[in-house]
Amino acid sequence: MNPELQRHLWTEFSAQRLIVMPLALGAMFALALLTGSNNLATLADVTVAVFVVLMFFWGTRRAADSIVSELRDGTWDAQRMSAQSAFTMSWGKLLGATAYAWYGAAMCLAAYLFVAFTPETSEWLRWQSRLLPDHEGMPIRAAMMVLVALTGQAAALACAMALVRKRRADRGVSVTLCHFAGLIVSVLLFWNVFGWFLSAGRVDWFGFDIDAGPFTLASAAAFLFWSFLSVLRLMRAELLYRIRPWAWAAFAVFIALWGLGLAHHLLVLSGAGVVPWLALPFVVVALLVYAAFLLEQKDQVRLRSWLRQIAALRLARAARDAPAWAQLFAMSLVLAAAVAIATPFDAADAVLAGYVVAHAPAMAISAVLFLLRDLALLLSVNLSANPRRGDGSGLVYLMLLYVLAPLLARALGDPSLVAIFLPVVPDERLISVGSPALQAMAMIGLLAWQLSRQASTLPGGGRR
Amino acid sequence: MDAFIKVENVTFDYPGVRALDDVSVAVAEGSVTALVGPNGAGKTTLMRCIAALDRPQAGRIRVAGLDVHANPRQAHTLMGYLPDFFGLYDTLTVRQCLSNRAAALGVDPERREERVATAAASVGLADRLEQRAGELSRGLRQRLAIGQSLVHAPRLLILDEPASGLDPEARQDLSALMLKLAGDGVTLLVSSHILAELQNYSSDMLIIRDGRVLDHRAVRESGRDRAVLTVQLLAPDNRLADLLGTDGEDLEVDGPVARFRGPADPAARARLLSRLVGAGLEVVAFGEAGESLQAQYIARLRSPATGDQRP
Repeated sequence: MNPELQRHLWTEFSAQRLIVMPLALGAMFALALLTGSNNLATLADVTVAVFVVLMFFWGTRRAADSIVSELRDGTWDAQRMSAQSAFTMSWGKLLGATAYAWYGAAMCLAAYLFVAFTPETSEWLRWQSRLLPDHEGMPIRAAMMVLVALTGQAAALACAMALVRKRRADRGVSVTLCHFAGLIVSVLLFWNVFGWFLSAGRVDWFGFDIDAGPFTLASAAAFLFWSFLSVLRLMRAELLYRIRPWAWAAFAVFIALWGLGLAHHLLVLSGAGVVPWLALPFVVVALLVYAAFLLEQKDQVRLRSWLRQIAALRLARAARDAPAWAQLFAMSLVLAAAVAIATPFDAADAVLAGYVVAHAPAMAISAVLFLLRDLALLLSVNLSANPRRGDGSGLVYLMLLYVLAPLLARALGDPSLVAIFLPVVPDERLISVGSPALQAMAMIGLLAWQLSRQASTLPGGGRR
Repeated sequence: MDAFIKVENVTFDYPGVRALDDVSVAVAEGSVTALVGPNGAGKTTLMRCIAALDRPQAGRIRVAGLDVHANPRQAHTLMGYLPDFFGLYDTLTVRQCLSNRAAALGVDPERREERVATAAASVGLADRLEQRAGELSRGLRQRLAIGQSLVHAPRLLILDEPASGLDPEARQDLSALMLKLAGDGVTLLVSSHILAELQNYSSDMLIIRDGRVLDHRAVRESGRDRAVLTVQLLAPDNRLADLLGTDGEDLEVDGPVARFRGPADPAARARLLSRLVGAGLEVVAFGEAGESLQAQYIARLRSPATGDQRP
């Protein structure tokens, strides 16, 4: 048996706990059957509600805590000395830490399926309850629940691992923050989005009218794959394997394609030509640049070494050692250039779409320059003398620049001033391109000064 | 001497601080190396790099010929590491802790029980296998942690401040365990600030200061057929080197005091002493140089850096 899974099973399951869970759940289900106005429908509601609590509110927390507690209790180094593969460690942790929650969730799922398939459940009851689809839809809904629960738990574990890598020195990783990340992924995004797909019955994806069931299952499985892949990559990094940043780029392509497929109908209706098909992936990639930057460990020493490689134009080595956010930034540059090149050939016929397309190059260039400024700013904060709260401080600066400064500019009465701070004022082309260009140059200058100052404090200028 | 651990030009930087600066060290198989140096010298960083827990910015580390950073999983099957601040799974029993560690380190299922029993016996926990780790005293927890580090029969054991927080009796037990492991052929790399502790079992001393190797020397021959000896005469005597002959390798004379590698066997040592006295040398003191570990360390620390003295 997987040693990591076995260790968790030893810890999680005692004779007492094995008995308590079925007793507690049995009492709850009995109460639902005996007191509900519509007994079976109430039982179905209760089983799903308890499943959600066990999986999303407890399971995700246990998944995050499985790594945070190792760091807190000083056992993580011994784990890292293991001879197990990263894959074995990853799934052992994911399923082991949540095993007891799954024990209860499996009982909920069994009760839920019992209600769905029992002959006592009438069509009228099914029609009344959103949670009780017909017999054909039931396995898909149950499978979706399991996949979404696993995805949320994997997301919480991945978040915890990312934070463990960032905050190892002070051991200050918040389980609640990781738990919250898992909750957002599982409840807000997947539970609602997939639930909406299933309620709609059909999904339009790139013009194909697809049955919502298989599409939802495939989507849930794909998102589970990406969540688990992020755990696996972070585990590999912890176990000192070299990891390449290709996964983020691949995820960006997946999200862009998945989103474009769903937006296909709207994009066709809008009457726009090719530009929105490039602009949407650009927005996705730009947002992922921030996500990757904030989640990745910022090793000052390696960052400095990488930036020095760029400064010395050792581009092949710089590309090999590039962090994920840099790779994504390069993708955003390519997409912005594609938007600019495609604009003259776009055949947008609708008025609104025509307006957007006409101004797309300026907006894309402006957005890329703002992105460059932000990266230089965030890097600069992270490379400062006290980088402990680097990302937090960086986010505060970004909020000042993107929220307070534009509001202030607007309050001064000249709307064109907003273009100094936001890439969304296409009529002010000179300001909307010139301002971020100047800001980006200033931030890059600050970063270069910081690098040279820090290098001088190490023997040999820190060049080894 | 075969280099079991070979550290080549390793540099490790923390933000704004160079923890290891072009460090090169070769450690022989079966040796017990005391890794010493002031706080912040880079001892823990060096140990973590050798244990493939941290990757240096430059340089290479090989253990038994294996590049530990190219093959971290394989390297971990060869070594055990006990960090300064270690933790245990308090809800697991001693048996479960050891068994789980053995499984995680790739010990075959059919050999696992035997290895658990051997490791528990090595650290004196054979009678506490069913006790929970959380119920053990500080000293017993330390023993369990060491037991976990050697449950897979590693060829190299790296211990960072293993005696810290232990009472005198537990320290004595730890010394006995180190000697036993050394006798079993395990290569040991031990860091500690308690030099009196280290001298009981160390064959070599590696001094690190400011991320550089200040000194690396034998303090006792690991095979125990040779030992580092000192002889103090009433007054300097030029005949000493000739009289020692082959029994006095690496002779260092400082006035009336001489330090050399000589026989570890007590009978051979007695014959050597008789020879010196019989030749008319006025011997004031004669014995193992082990007790001077602290003095050697302080002396080396006050002198300029000399680098690794081993090839």
